[in-house]
Amino acid sequence: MTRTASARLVVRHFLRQRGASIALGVLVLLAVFAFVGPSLWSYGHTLHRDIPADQGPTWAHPFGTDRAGHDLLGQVMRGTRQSLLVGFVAAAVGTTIGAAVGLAAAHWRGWVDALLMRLVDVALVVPALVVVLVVAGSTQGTSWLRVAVLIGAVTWPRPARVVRGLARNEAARGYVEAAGAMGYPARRVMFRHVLPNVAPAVAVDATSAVTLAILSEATLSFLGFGFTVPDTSLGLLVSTGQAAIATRPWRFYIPGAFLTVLCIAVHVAGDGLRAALGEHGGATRAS
Amino acid sequence: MLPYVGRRLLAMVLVLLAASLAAFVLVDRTTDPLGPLRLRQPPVAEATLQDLRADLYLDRSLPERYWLWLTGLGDTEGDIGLLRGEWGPSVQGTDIGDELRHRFVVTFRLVAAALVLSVALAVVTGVVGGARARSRTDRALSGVAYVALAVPLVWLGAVVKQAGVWVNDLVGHRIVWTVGATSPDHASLGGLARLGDVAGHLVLPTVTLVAAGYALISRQQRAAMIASLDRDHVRAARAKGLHERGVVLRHALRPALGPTVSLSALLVAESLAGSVIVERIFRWRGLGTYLLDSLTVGDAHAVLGYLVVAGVLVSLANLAADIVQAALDPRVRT
Repeated sequence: MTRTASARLVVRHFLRQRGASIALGVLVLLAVFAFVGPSLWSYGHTLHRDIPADQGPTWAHPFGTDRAGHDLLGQVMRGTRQSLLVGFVAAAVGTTIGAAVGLAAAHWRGWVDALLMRLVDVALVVPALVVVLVVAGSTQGTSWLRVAVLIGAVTWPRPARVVRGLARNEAARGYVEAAGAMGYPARRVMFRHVLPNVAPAVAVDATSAVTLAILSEATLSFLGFGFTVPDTSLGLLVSTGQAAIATRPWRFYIPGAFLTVLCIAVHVAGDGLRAALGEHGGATRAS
Repeated sequence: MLPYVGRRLLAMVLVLLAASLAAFVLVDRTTDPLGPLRLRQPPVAEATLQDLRADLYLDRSLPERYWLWLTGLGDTEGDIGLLRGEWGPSVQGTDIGDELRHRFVVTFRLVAAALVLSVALAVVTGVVGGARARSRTDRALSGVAYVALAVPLVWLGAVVKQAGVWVNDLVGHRIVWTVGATSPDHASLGGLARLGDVAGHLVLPTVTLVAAGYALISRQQRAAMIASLDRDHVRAARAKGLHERGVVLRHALRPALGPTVSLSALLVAESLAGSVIVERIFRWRGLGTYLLDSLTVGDAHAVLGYLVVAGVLVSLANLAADIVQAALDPRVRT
């Protein structure tokens, strides 16, 4: 079966699951909300001196405003955008680094493998969130790219272990030995033969990396080490909203709801991808 | 068994040593204890800053600083050297060792309670869900676990705290504590009242951590249970007429516990990370808030102290999990 044909099968199997399709739809909606929304809505996430401050939800400001003069709808749009950007880019960075390390360990085996896996052990001694906090503790005035690269650079160990295990399983299979016997150099075997077959499982792992990255960014901002004023983030909004939770509950529950829905949607979509690939993951073979 | 434990212990020590070097370099590169002081108005005298630099050993080279921090052998004031029991000079005006000691007790009871309850809840829901796969009970349990896995801890914690406040308001007087690890008058309470005070303050934070943590293990336990119930030895037990509960508990459960054990070690690390958030939300004076405070000021030695404690805890948890797994399944002890 060709790669495009089986990819189409995976997509069809994914869409056949109601939960996963809904989740994907929600994600698309959130992306539109975050990236297209600001051009359509009159208030950004920055300070507006001419709007009524400290108001509940009204028609003019559907999510309300805060005491300083921010429109919460604009802020939530911005926050969702940060979460999506950081989430996906951080997962991409982390999974790429991890996959490279994992493939290298599986390819060269021997002392390279042992060294890299000891490195993974060392990196996993302390919880990832703590490492992110320590590294982020100093960087002020952060851009989303910096936060994303930071989180990605810290979360590479888990994908590395996963990819190494998968690659070792594949390397034990007949076609790898055959390719080697045909005279293909080992690197080519790794990239053109093993990687495409490992890719589906890596993609599934990458979706949980996205959830983790979104949560890491929200936690960082919540604790005051990520995005700070004048920028904003869903985590930061939840943190400031928490202080006023009794008197102005919308400032806490609305950003929190967006964050939770985002996390659940990514999670469900990831599970759907896993189920869709489980049926056909083994069918994709390099030609 | 003993050689296996010995080997794992040695590996743990080596990994911790390597991690300490990596951590030192990381913290050294990312903290600037003098930064906040330089920004102060009126400005701090340059001579004072230089004295402080010398006190913090910042005028030495990086390798020397690591060596001093780890061993304390060399030109020091006697306040540094991890292997001699000194954590190093702190910028926050307190003794790092004392702070870590007091706060460790506070954080430990939170993490321990959360761990025990998470694993217990996970095993129970996993076994019940697995034994009655696809029933309504199973679907309900799986649904709850699914949501619990995806809800962000930062939001969940604040929601739980607010629920506590709401319950208190509803009932009229305080039945759950929502703030702090102990009451202000804790020291003046008698023995049993003290225990009750501690336990009462533990309720909401533990509930938060358990809700966030049990789901991962529960799903794994359920899957392992389903696989185990399909095995031949279980079928044999059923065939000989053993009642279903005996089949589940005595024959299917033990092989299914393996993945749970290794995931529990992972849960220790997760709970430790979660405790940082929970301690901030519920305003506990624990290790987590100490880390946050130290990071804000750039107190390198305090941050390193936290990393050492956290690293040792996680490593010991992994070691314990490996030992338990080897005890459960002798085939592992290669």
